[in-house]
Amino acid sequence: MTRIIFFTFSFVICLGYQSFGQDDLMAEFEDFGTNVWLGSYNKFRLADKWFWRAEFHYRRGGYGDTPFIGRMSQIYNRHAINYFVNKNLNISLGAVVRLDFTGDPQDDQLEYVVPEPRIWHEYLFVMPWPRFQMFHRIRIEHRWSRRNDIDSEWIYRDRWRYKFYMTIPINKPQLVPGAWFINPDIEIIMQSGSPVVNSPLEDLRIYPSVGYIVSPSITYTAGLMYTTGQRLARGHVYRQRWVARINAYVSLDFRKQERKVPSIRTTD
Amino acid sequence: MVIRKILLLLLVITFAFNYTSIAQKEIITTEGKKEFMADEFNIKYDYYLSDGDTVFHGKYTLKKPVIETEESKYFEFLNFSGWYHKGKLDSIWEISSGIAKSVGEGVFSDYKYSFKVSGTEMLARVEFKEDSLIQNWNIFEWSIVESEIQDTLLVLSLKETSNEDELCIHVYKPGEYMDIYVNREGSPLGTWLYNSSLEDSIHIRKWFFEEGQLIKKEIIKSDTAVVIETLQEVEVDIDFEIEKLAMDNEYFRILDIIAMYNSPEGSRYITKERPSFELLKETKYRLLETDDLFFQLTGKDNYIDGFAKIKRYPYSKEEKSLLDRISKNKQEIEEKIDITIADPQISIAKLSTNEVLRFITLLSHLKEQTLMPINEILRHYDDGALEYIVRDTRILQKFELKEAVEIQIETEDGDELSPYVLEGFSYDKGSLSSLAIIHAYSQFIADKVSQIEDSLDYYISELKREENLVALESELIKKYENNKELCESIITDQINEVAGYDVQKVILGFLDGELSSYSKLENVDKKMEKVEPLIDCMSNIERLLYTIENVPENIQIVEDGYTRTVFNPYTFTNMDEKIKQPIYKAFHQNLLPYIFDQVKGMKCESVRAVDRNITNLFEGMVDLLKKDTKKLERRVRRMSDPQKIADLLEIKIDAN
Repeated sequence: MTRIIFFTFSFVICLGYQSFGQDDLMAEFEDFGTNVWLGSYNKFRLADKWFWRAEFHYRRGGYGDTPFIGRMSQIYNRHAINYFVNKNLNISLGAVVRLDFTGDPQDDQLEYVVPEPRIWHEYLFVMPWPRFQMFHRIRIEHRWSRRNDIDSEWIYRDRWRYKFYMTIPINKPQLVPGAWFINPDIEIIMQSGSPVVNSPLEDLRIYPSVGYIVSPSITYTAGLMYTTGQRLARGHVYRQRWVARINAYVSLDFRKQERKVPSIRTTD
Repeated sequence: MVIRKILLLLLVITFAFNYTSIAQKEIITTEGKKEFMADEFNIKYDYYLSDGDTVFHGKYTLKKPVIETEESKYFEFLNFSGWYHKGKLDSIWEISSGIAKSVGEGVFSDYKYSFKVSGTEMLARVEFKEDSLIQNWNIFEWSIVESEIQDTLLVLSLKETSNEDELCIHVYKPGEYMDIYVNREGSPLGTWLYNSSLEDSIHIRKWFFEEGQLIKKEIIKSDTAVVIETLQEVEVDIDFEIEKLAMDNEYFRILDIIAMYNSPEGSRYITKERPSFELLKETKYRLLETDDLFFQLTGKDNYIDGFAKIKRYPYSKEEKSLLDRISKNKQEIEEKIDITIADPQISIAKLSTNEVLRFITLLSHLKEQTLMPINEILRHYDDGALEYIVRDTRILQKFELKEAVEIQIETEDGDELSPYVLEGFSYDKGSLSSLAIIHAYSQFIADKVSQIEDSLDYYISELKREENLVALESELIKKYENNKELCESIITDQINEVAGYDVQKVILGFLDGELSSYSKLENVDKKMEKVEPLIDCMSNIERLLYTIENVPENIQIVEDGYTRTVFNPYTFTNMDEKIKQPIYKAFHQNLLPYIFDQVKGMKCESVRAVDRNITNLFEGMVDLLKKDTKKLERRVRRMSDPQKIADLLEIKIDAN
C-alpha cells in the first residue's frame, strides 16, 4: 500500500514539474463555482464474493447568471462488477455513462446533452482499525468525451484517481446501525492522454462529511467538498468549486434467503 | 351263747388236728437268693415237703440287699415279711420300703460292722387269711433319724366298719385328716370328712352321699359354714342317665362344676378345696402302690377302685347346634377383637383420641368380662362337664345376663372419662332355652363388636384423613416456602425489566394470597378438598418460576435467531440486522408483555397455562424462523392485539 501511494505522488510531481517547465504563465484561480451532487451508491450482493455496483449522480450547478444550483449539470450512471477478494481488498470493473448537459441551453450551437462513456476499474484497499476504518482507493478510468459544441470531436483520456478516506464513529464505539460518523476524504485525480498537455491535475477534492448508519443496508452522508484542478486546455488556470454533496449508500442482498440467515441456536 | 361255745370247741379241735398233722412234717428253714422285681433279693422262709413239693409254711422274708454307692450315701430298701400257712398267705404281712443313708460312726460288734441310718420309711401292713386279703390295711410313713422313728408323716387305714358292707378309709397327715366311706364295691357312702388345720383356722369339709351320689357339700371355715347343694333339682322331666365315674379328680371336678352352677355364690369356697383333693389323691396312690407291691409278691390284685354315681343329661340335637353356633360366634368375636386391638394404628390412635380409647376399652371389656359366661360354658362343653349340668335352669342361674352394663373408661393417665353403657340385650326366659338365650347373647356381643368396629373404622378413617391432611399441609408449606425462596433467588431485575413490573413481588403476593385463602377455610372437609389442588398449584408455580428464570436466556435465543450479521460493503464491517422485523417487534411489543400480563393476573387454575404459554411463545418464535413469513409479517405489522397476533403466527397462547 505504501508503495502505491509513493508511486502515485511521484507520478503527480513529475507531471507537474513537466507542465510548469514548458510554460511561463502564472497560475490563475477561477472564481468558486457552486454545485450540488446528489448521489446514490448501490451495491447488490449477488454471491458471497460478488456484488453489482450501481451508482447514480444527479448534479446541478451554477453557470454565468444562473444561480447556485439552477442548471442541470450532469447525470452519472456508473455500473461495475465488484469482487470481494478479502477483507482488505476489493476490486471493481465496470462502465460509466455520464451525461453532460449544456452550459447554455439557449445556445443552439451547443448540444443539450452529450454522453461520455467510460471504462473504469478500481482497487480499494481497506485498513481496519479497532475503532474506525481507513481506505485507500485507486480508480482508473478510460474516458471518451467531447464538448457540447455541435460536431466537436471525441477525445480520449485516462484518469488516475487516488482517494484516501476514513469512517470514524462518533456516538458509538463501532460502525453499527445508529452510529454517526465523520468521513474525512481527500482525492486527487490525475489525467493523461494526448489532449492533456499541461493539465495533468484534473481535480483535487477535499471532502469532509458526516454520515449516519441507518441500518446495515442504508447509510447517509452529507458534506461540503472543495475541489480545484487545471483546465484541460489552459493548465495555468485552476477551477475552484464548492460542492454540497448528499449521498445515500444502499446495499441489498440478492442471495437466496437460506444463505443470508445464519443457523439459529435453539437449545443449550 | 351255746352256739358260740360249740363253734369255739370246733375251732380248738380243728386247730389241734391241723397242728398234729403239720407237726408230723419236718419244718425246714432255708435262705438264699431270689430274682424278684428285676433285682436279686435275699430270701429266707420256712417250708415242708409234701410229696416232694415245697410248701411254704411259717415265716417268709424277702429283703433287697442294700447297696451304698460312692456318689450318694442314700440307699433304697425294700423288705417283705409275712407268714404262710400250708402254702397260703396268712396273718399279717408287712412291706417296708424307703430311702435312707448311714449316719454317724460305724460300730463293730459280734463281727458285724453297723451304722445308724436316717431317712424315711413306708410301712404297709395288710392281713391275709387263706390267701385272701382281709380289708384291713394300714400304711404308715415316718421319718427316721439315727435309726429312731422321729415323725409320723402318714397314717392310712382301711378297715371294715361295724357294718360289714362298709369300709372306712382314714388317712392322716400332719395337720389334716380325712375319713372316707365306701361300700365293698367302692361306691361312696355316708358323710366324708376332711379336716385341716394347715392354715391358721380349722377347715372342715363334708361330703354327703346318698345312693352313691353326692347330695351336698358343707364347707366350714372358722365360724362360717356354707352348704352347697350338688344334687340338681329338676323342675321338669329331663332325660338323664346314671353314670358311674371313678372317684378321681375328674369326678370331683365335675362335682365342683355342678356345685358352682347350683350355688354360684358358693363358688369361691369350692375353688379352695385343693388340699382335700390332694389328700384324696395321695390316699389312692398309697393304696395302689401297696397293692402293686403285693401284686408282685402274690400275683393278686386286691385294690378296689372307688366309683360314684352321677346323673348325666345328654345334649339334644338343638343344644349341640346352639353350642356349636355359640362356639363359632365366640371364636369370631375374639378374633375380631384381637385383630382390632393389635392394630398398630388403633394402638396409636387410642393414645390421642378418647373416642378410640373408649371403644378399645369396650372391646377389652367385651372380651374379658362380657364374653366370660360364654367362655365358661364352652369350656365346660369342651371338657364334658356341661353334660352333667341341668342346663336349662342352671346356666341362667349361674350367669346373670344384665340388660345394661356400665363400663368405666380410664385414660392412660388415670383420668376417668364418661362411662359407656352397654345395653340393648334382652331376653324372655319363658320362651327360649338357656342355650338359645346364650346364643342370642353371643350374637348380641358379635353385633356389638361389629358396631364398635364400624365406629372405630370411622374414627380411624377420620384420623387417617386428618393425618393425611397434616401430611399434605406439611407438603404444601414446604412447597410454599420452597417457592418463596426460589422466587427470591431466581427472579432477577433483568426479568422485572422484561416484564415491566416487579415479577418477584407479584408472585410472592400470589403465593401468600393462595395460602391465606386456604388457611381461612373452616373445616377439614373443605381443606381436604382444596389442599391437593393447592399443592398442584404450588408445583405448577415452581415450574413456572423455572420457566420465568429461563426467560432472559430464551429472549437471547430469539434475539440471536432473529439477528443476522450483514456485511456492509461501504464500511467494510459486519453489522447485526434483525430479520422478520414485524414478528420480532410483535414479540417484544405485544407478545412478551401479554405473557407477563398473564403472570400478573394468573390464578391457580391458570398457572399451568401461563407456564405453557411462555414456553410456547419462545418455541413458536424459533419455529417461525424456519418458515416463510413474508405474508404474515405484512399482516402482523398492522396488528396490535397480542392474542390475534399469536393466533396468526400459530403460536399457541391461551387467553386467561
